[in-house]
Amino acid sequence: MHRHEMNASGSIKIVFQPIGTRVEVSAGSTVLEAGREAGLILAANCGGNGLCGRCRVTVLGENIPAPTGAECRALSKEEIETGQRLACRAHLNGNAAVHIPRTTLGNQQRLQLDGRTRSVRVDACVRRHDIDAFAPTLEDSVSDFERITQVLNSELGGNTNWHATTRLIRDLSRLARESNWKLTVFTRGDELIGCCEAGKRPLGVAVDIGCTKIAAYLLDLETGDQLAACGIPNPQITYGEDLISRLVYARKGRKQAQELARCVQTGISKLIRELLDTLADPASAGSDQVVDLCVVGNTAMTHLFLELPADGLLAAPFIAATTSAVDVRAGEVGIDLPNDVYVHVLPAIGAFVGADHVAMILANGLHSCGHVSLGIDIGTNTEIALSKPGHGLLLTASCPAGPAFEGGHIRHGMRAAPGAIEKIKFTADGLSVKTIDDQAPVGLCGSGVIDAVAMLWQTGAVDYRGHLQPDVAGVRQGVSGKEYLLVEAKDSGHGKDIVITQQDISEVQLAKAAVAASVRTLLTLSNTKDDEIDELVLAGAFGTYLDVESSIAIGLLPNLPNASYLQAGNAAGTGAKMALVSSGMREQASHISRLAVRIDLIQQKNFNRELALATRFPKNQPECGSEKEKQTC
Amino acid sequence: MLEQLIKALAELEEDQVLEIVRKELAGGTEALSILQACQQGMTEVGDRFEKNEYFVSDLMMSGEIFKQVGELLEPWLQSATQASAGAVVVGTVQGDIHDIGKDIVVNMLKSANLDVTDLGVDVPPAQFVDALKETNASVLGMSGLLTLAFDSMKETVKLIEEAGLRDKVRIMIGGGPVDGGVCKVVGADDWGADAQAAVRLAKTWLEVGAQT
Repeated sequence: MHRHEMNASGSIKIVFQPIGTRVEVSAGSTVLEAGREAGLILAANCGGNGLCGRCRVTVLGENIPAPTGAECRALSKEEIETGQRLACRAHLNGNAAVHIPRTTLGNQQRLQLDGRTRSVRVDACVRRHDIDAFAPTLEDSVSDFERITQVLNSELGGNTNWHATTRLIRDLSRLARESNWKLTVFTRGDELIGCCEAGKRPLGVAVDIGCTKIAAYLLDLETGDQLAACGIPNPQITYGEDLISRLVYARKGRKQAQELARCVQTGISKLIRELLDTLADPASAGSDQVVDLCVVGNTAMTHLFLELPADGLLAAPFIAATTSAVDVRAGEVGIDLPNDVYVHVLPAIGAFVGADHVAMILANGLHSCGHVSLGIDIGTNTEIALSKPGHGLLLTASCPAGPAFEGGHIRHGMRAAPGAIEKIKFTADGLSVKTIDDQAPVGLCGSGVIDAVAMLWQTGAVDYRGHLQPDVAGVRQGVSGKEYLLVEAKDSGHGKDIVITQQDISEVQLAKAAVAASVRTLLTLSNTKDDEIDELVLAGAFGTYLDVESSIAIGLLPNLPNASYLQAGNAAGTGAKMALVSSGMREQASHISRLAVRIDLIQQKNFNRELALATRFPKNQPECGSEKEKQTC
Repeated sequence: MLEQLIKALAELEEDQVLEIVRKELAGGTEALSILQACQQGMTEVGDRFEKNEYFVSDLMMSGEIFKQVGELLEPWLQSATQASAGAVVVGTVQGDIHDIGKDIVVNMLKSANLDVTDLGVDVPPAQFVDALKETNASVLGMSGLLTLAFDSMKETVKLIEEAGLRDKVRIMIGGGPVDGGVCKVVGADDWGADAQAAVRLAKTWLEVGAQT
């Protein structure tokens, strides 16, 4: 037997390739745990339970324990022979080198940051005041804090009873003396929340916490201009791809809930530093100028961020701890800033219709514009809003469409990373595929999956029930049933065929049926006819990249005769930005939260029938090349 | 004509199925033979599912068609019900509201000529016990997709034991993440990965029960 290589404390050294990150962990840790320790984000869709087989890595070194049963199931014999392992299952007993393939490394996805921006009257909650006070003398012996608030009151013409934390008074006193009583203070309501060198502008950060990514934007609170944007994958991803796995983890105890909260909180702190660093002149903006934060996310994400008990989100009747807007001191939620900054979390509508959906409605003005509109944010959990402002009606619903649209549960599905097929067209010359970054294809991302299925339906390779037709070219018998060959091994990036299987098609049918049946149910309930709808807004990353024609062809989206289809980008982020720079928008968000009626689809008598019917492909297809008014922002 | 009905159902052609059923009823065919033909069609659907030719979406559709047929036949069947192969109670457990899979199971069990009591979703343990007492059913099917649903299943099994019914009732569970491990933890007799498995289990248990 080999003697395990380890030092006295029982720790081992792991190096991750090709990045070159090194980490020391205790012997017996899994590769996934070591990766987390090293701050790497590995894909672990199933939450590290050995089920999804996505966290493949190659482990090189000696004394590596034999593959577990889960690994033998997920990996082929050849793969195991070449040292491939599942990061979540493979334990490390000695020093090792771990090679992480591109497909396993989570942080190369394309992040989508921009959305359509409505014009907003800038009216931020936090205001700047330039103070130029007289230094104290024997005759003018007012204390420091009162000296500054006296200037404020004379400037504002009121008699406000200002207050501040001890921490701020400490900083204020010091800065006032150092700057010879010329400084800038920031107020929020009747509180002094910050101070900095004279003449610096107040900045704010809007944050959209998504299940897979966190996007952040730096804005000037006085002009409303966006100064910088950046995004990172949600670090919670190593605790499970889907939010349920994360909620279950948080439910295990206080420590686990804190762990998940810290993940996001640290991520946001990191984003704030990055935002400031990316400014053209980083020296001109300091973290003491960041004086307001506005956060959106689905209800589970905001609960995990705020460390609110999320148990209620896990079981019927699905109740959130709160759906109201929350204002909390940044320091209390682990975001370290020099000033006493508050974080404003937008209100939600329900357990599955979160602040991100409120922000989407706000950003697109669905609640206030003059026409009938549908807003759809397609994702693992899809949220839908139907607004009929003339009737004072705003219906919302959520439906679990599953991960098929993000490339999950699809044999050759993958996230939107380089080499993912994102578009497919069927031309006279055959199939043409377009991949992300124009790299050789290695799999299909969500929009590619939709295009593939639409192409199969439009070329007659599947019938309206979704069954592959054996006599059509490209259809063949695979290892687990029928499949359609999309890219031959010789043309792919990894030397293997890329196919879409009958099982994949079935997954897409179920996912698109969930969305279609939900939309249909909202239309029926509100007695809305297809031709009454003026606008269909598609929000979110997937909604931005999907092909509208393909989506209509397979019945994912309704074919609305009079509607314009708008792909609005990250509308949730846009809404967060609007609420960051405008108190009026925060009020509107609360109004949306109160106005919205949540429809429980499962309680609707006909929902399951709608769902079954919607799994089929629509026979009355739009004509090829029909001129549907389409805008893309 | 009934051959056509079996085929239309197996092919999931709802309009055709309903048209044939209406014609047959108008032509005086006994509702019971129509029902049996539909049951045969459903069996074919189940077989194709097992052969990987049909998928969950097809099961959902077949269930819907069977439900429509059931509604058409109901007024004619009341006097002439065929002897049921046994009674089964089914529901989605407390704390869970997923009913798509559960509904497929209910429809498949019904098409296998079982007398099914469907308690719906979010069913508290006590309601399962009451239903078992009322219907005298010897098979219970519990469904749940959420991890928390397993606690409810466990609790229900415990309550059935306390009610002194455990020896008389065989319990099967199903739902996305359910497997042998869950089955053991929950204390059920067996588990099924799909609706066909549920039908197979129920039929086996009821046949064995009938012989002893």
